[in-house]
Amino acid sequence: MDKMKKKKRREHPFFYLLPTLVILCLLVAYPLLNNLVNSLSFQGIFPTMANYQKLFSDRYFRQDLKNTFQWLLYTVPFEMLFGLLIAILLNGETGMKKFFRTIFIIPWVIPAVVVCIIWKWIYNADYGILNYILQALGLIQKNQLWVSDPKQVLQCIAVVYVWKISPFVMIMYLSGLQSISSDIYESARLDGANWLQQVGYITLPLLFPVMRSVILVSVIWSLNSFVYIYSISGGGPARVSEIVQIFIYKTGIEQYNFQYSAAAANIFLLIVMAIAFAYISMTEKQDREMMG
Amino acid sequence: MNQMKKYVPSMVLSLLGIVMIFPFFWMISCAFRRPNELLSSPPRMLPSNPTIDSFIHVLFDTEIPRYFFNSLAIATIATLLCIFVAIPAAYSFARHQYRGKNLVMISILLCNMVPQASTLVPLYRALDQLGLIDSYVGIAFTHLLCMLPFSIIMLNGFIKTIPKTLEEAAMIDGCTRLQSIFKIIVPVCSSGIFATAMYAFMISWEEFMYAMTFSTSSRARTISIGLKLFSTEFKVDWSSILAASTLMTLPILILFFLIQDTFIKGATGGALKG
Repeated sequence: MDKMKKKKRREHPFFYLLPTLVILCLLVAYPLLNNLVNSLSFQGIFPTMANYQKLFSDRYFRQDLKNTFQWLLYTVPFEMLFGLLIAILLNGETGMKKFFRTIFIIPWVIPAVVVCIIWKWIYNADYGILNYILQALGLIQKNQLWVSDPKQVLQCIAVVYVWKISPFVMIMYLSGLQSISSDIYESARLDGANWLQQVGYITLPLLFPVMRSVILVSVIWSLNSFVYIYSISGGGPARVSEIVQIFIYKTGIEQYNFQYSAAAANIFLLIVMAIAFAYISMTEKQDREMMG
Repeated sequence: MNQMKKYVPSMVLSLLGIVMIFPFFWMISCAFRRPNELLSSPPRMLPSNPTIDSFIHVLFDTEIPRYFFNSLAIATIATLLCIFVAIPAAYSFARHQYRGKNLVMISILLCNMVPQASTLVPLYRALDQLGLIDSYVGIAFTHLLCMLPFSIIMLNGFIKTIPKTLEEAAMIDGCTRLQSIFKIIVPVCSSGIFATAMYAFMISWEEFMYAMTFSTSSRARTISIGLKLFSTEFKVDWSSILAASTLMTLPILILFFLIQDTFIKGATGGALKG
């Protein structure tokens, strides 16, 4: 009797999920709850909104929020376009498809820190190859500062990010493209559709489900990318390229002001989740409309 | 004209390919030079006389080998933990039917969206209290947040492709469900599990934010952080830094090419469901 009971309990699905749920609770639920309590405490008073009030009048925090959104705009659309372009070209390629795919995947496999180091060296104002090549091509007259120039530092780092991530986007689109039957293109060609019409009326609509999840993943990743800005410019020069993650790290870990940092962390979490939910509900609606 | 048109995509691809591969090529090319050659103008594409001095310097005069070993240990611990925890969870999602399953799956996916930065400070203080700062276990455990949700989805995709009849036959022969996981699912799905493990390893190998915050000395510092510190030293020796970067990239690149196809299949299947 006892044995039977034991066996039955083991079969319960919960048993299989328990380790995962425990780990994720420790790594997600605990920190978020802890942040919530901390962000509402200020100089021994609880609960208070003082941290949030201070945060919104903080010039640097507002600047960092703006930079975070700018970073999103500089990265996601470009990695989408670039990844899609390569995927479409690769899908049409016959002979050397695997060779090209391997070449295009390499940047994604290189560890992020190494990516940053390589590009820092390429961007180097005195000895970097980029200045040399652009001058040889006559595109610029004198050496540019690139990542040391406050006006273009964020764009320059976005190029690095797009270079590293667009291979992932490319693989996703490629697998989506491969599931589109070639018969559809065949009949479109017979009806006289040109390349652009085929892309616009067949490829893109049929790629929509793939695109939906790729965009979501890309947005989340882009908002979460810390290492690129931190290790290329450190948020500088003079904090102009600082993003919210760096703000949280600096206030929480370097200055050990964890209550203030918790408030910033919560605002950031709220923004990421709001974007994700808005996006999911928006595309779901569109999806349903398209289906019928 | 038609003949020409056929070659246009290939030409564009080649051109883009050169742009994409160039930074990687440039890293290797510069790693095999003497420091003073890097500062000469005009730069040459290939080293004028290739040397492995920088590699020898990195391997014998710096702490990079130690960081390399730390990373290896942390990524291995994290990957093993991740796979052991992810297999039963993925199995359950693929085979069990119960109410609220979707909700559990969605909550696990949501964990993937929580910004690392939002968990950073509480985790740091918790690890500090447990005495786990500067330890392999502390860093490896936090890495699970970055790899566990995706690993479960990826494995779930692989397990779903295995016909149920295989396990049913085993269970008629007296296997319990748990036994059938280890005797049937794991062997049949070994390439998928290996691809997932390799993805998890890659994430831990390149993870930066946690590894930097949760290590304060060289005891558990990973190579990501070591390289970053190395590259911001007062006197920057670019050829050594690029040599160290090459050393950090090599194992991952080799691993990746060994299982490229399974990996791409699993990663695309997984992400598209997420």
